[in-house]
Amino acid sequence: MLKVLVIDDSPFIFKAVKKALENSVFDVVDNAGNGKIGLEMYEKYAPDLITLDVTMPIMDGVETAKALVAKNPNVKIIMLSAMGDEALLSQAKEIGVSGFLRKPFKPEELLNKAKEILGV
Amino acid sequence: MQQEKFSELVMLTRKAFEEICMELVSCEFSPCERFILEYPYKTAVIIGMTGSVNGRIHLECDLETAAKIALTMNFGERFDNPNDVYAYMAEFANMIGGRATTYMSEKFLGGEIRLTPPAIFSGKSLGILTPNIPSQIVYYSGNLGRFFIDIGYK
Ligand SMILES: [Mg+2]
Repeated sequence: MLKVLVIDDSPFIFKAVKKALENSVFDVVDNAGNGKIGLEMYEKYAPDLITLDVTMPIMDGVETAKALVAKNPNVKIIMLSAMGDEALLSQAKEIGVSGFLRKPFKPEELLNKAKEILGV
Repeated sequence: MQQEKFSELVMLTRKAFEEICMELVSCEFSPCERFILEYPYKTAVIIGMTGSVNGRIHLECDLETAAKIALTMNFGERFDNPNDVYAYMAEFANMIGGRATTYMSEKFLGGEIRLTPPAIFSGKSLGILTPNIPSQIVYYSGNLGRFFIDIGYK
């Protein structure tokens, strides 16, 4: 099973990611409510994939993505954001985020994106 | 702010609200006459916007409407933790704010607009005032209940 960590301040998104990815090759292991906790959980679980929110308290998704890429340049991140402006999309690409979906996303959209990024 | 731009920002916020309601909970909310929320328990979420647009969206409804929206978002499954209703409403409002910023940045050609994490309020006889910001209140009604949205931009 491929481990997925959800970094998002919303329990709804955690649930929606679980619904979308489980019953497949993925195991959604945990939910970090902000980027700071997310970095700790990244060390703990060594996930194959991270879904990363942008608007979060304490440490936002852009800062978190930079820190994750600094730790591991090959980290696989799908950014999930309610915002979808061009400035954010190109910033995410520049940092090295592997995929971007706007919220609300459809379950199959996330599943397909996750499979595509991990090549499964 | 020019009246024209203010009206445009309000219109884009309304469009975002209507679309997110359809996409997320498959409910069509239509503009309606002004009303007073007579239910004792209310829920309010405030999302701030900073950057090339400064403002805030204040979304308010009775607890019954919030519970119906949250239950629908939760795939019809009951909550283990009743406080999740508030957390779900926070994300509902966040998605509306996010969609609105996307439209605004398209409309006004770029400029970064970022959202603040949602602030959630709940209680009896709740009244929230945000002075010093021009705002417009709009009223909506649909199968899942009623909302009023106080939209302010400066
Ligand atoms: Mg968030």
